[in-house]
Amino acid sequence: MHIGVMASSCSQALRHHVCKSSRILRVHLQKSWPNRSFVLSSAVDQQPAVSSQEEIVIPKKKTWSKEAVLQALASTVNRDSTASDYRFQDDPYLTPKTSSEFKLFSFSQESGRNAAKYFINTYPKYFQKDYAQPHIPCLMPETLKAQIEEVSEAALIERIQMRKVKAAVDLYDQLLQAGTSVSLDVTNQLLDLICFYGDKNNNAERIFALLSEPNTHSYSALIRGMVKYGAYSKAFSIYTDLLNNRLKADVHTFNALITAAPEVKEKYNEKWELIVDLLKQMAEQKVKPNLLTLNTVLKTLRRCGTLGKSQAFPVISEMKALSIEPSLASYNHLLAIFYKPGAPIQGQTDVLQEVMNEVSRKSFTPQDPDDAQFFITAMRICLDTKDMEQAYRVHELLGVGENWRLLGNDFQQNIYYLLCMMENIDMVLKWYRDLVPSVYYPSSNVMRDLLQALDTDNRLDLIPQIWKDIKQLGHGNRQKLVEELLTLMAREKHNQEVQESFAQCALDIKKMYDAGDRGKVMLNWTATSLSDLISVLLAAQRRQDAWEMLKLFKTHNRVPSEELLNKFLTCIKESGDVNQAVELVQISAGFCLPETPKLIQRVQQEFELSEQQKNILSDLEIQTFNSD
Amino acid sequence: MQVRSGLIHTQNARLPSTKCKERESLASGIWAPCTARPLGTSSISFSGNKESSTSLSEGKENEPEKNEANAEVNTDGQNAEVNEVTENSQQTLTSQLETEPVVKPEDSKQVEKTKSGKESLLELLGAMKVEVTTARKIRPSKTSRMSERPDQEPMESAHSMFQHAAAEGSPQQHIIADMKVGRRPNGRSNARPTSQIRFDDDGKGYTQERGITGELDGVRKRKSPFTSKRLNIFTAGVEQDTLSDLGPTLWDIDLANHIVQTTNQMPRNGFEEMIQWTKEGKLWQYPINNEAGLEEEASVPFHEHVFLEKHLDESFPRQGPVRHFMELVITGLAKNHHLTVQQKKEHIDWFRDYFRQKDDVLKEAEA
Repeated sequence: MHIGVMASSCSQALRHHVCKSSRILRVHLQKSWPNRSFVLSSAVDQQPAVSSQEEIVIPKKKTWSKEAVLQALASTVNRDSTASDYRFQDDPYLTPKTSSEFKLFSFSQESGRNAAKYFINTYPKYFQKDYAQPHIPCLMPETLKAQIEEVSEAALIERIQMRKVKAAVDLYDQLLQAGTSVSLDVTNQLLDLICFYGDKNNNAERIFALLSEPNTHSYSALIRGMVKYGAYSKAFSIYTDLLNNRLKADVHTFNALITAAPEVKEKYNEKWELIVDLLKQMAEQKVKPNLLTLNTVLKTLRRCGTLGKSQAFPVISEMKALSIEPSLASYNHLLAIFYKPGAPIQGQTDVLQEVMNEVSRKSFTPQDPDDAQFFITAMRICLDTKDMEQAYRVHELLGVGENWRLLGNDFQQNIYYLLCMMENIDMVLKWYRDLVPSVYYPSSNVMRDLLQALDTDNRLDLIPQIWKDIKQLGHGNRQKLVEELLTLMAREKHNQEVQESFAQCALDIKKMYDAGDRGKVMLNWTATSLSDLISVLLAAQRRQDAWEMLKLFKTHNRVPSEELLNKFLTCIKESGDVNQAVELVQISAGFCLPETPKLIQRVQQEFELSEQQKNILSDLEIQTFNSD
Repeated sequence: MQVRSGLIHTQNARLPSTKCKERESLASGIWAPCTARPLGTSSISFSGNKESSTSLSEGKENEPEKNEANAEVNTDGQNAEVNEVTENSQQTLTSQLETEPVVKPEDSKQVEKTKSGKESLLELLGAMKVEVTTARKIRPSKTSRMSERPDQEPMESAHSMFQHAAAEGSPQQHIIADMKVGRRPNGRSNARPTSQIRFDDDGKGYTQERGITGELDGVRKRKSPFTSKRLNIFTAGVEQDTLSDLGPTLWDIDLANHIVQTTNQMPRNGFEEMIQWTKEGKLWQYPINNEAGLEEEASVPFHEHVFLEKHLDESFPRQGPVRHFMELVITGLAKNHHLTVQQKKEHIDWFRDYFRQKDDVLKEAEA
């Protein structure tokens, strides 16, 4: 109910924030104010009480949340792996095909919305007509000017809510000068505002000093602000002040102090002692720690070296004893404590498994901004320890409930890497088809790994398809990738169809090498790549194309290898084109290749030459002989 | 819950093909109670079988009890399509039973229900829906069981072994469930070469040969890190001191914003987008309530809209052309659906002011 009341009574600036984060806020607030009853609770929260197996309590009436119907419908829909993300337009031209396009399109969508919002708010007089019944507040222009003009407490409250720091401070000063006293709560809010936005003119301390009886909240505001902006030792001195005034601090203050603790001490055990000291004081003052407290403790333990390893699990047990359910952030910190990136792994895999045991099949709501790091960390560890089983479990966890929201973008990359290295090709392809390109746009390194995996499992016939994907992903201009592709294709002989498809692919690749429309050359030929290409073409009996390619050697100043020329000669022999054979020898001589004489011999032996050709050949022979 | 109601809705979505026109005019919201309607009778028929009735009522309790009004409407069409839906749900039932192997006693309970349900299905459409929904409801809690199917045999023996091993009573089930998760014996995880022959090709997450020892090992291992010693700084049960009543502070809003930024809030499909819009207030709430947004109007009694003469009694003449005119105005306002009472009063006030201003003109005319 308080959300509803707040939404209707605040000005729209605040409501905008509430609109966007209302769901998160509700969950968060439900945890911190369990006494409140929230109208917007979902149907899940309203399970009727089932005390035991036999005794069922049937409620008189069940009310559903306003999204219950839609949530039910949404649960019937799965992800379509052939489509891109929902936020994009469903049009082949407008779906992103590479990861950079993905980012670009999503940013552009967001910026379009922001531009529209900007226009509505800058020219509100054009957007006053309200067609919607019932009224939709968040589509109307926001009123950002202060409404109440006179110098009063209500005006101060309004300015605080509109987050106008300077105006609020000025108004406060005016109020004090005019002699009206401002209530402590309002002053506290003002302090909150100032401290939150960074106290440029030291207003906070001044106002604080003016307070006759600062209470917990005031101290809390000051300390939190100081910690936020890096004034750690000052925060501690204020805390000592608080203790001297025999006040209790609240849980937020302690959270801030614990965050500040590692900054004020140097050595690991000193840091830990300080934290333990703070926690003990917290217990003395009977302040109940919340999830953030213990997450902060864990976070600082990350920076405490080996001490962290010994103390981490006790902290978690403490949390559980206080019936605070650890969130994914806690587990994330735990994993980070035990698996330092780059450190050698010695028998640490148990921790990951333990953690996975704990978190399996639980649906987590985001309660801490670090929750989102969990999956990335977990997958990184699986990658480092080459642990497929845990990787699958992590992926499974992703599918539970709303956990998918807690995912960063690098996640898919890691799981994919893992699979390439470890699984057989069918699994890899299955994941490939599922993830690419709807969710994950692999980089060119990943594509190389994929090619290697194909190689290991002898599925080189899939190369032309992969090439199409490579082109689509925009990696078609990566030198190394293309060369590797060519080498793989040229290495062995396959059956006819496969060779034919390879040849098509090779010609396609050739186009990448040619100068583009604007004369820009994207890729440079190397001798190996040319040779590979030609071998592929030869293997598919495309002599004419291969012949064209051979000429490219000269144009690009590359030297063909002996093997290539021999292969070519064999091919020519099959077709019996004597002229071409002679030309081949001339080309070879033109490059002054050492194997020219051998070639000449071969031609002389294997072909039937006319007189003219014999003469040419003997001339060449003499030339090469002389040049030795 | 939501999954279950999702199933009801998907089932209903298949029905429209054979329905008569009047059905389509029913709002979707009516379907939920309509399926609940026959539940009253189903409970009677199942009262003999206590086990199944409890599981039935488990499903029943989730339905809202606004049945009566829709009773007549639904009887007509329902009998006609009982057969069709019977088949559908039976198929879903059996398929669900196949894919959801539950612990054996529960399994037999389900089979029992199916059989008895089939008998009375022709009479009680709703009973069938309850069958389906109950099965569905059990499923999410038993997803753990799904992957453990081939291991039901080891589970049984592990169960019995564990009965000897631990002297606990009801937490046993819980520990067994947890045991399934903790399968990895110590130290084997590292002994894996990268190009090994994989045993669990379908990604179940465990291999079948581990069997019992692995599970017991898992039990032992579970004791270690997460249940080890505490810091012992805090005592459980410290009560929360009262927080300030000022609503979410700036810091809380900031935290919420951080969380929103780091998590992925983009909708994955059209339904999720509509959910977001509903939360923002841009979309009507389903099931559609025609009077959404008109809550204050609901509390205004109709006579205040219709009988507006009392406003005329102050400062309007009792007779004469002005009164006549104003009575016409009132008649018009009384029939206007779109104005609130306040707006109607304002109209009348405006006229009052107008005639006051033009008083001298009126005096001239009448005089």
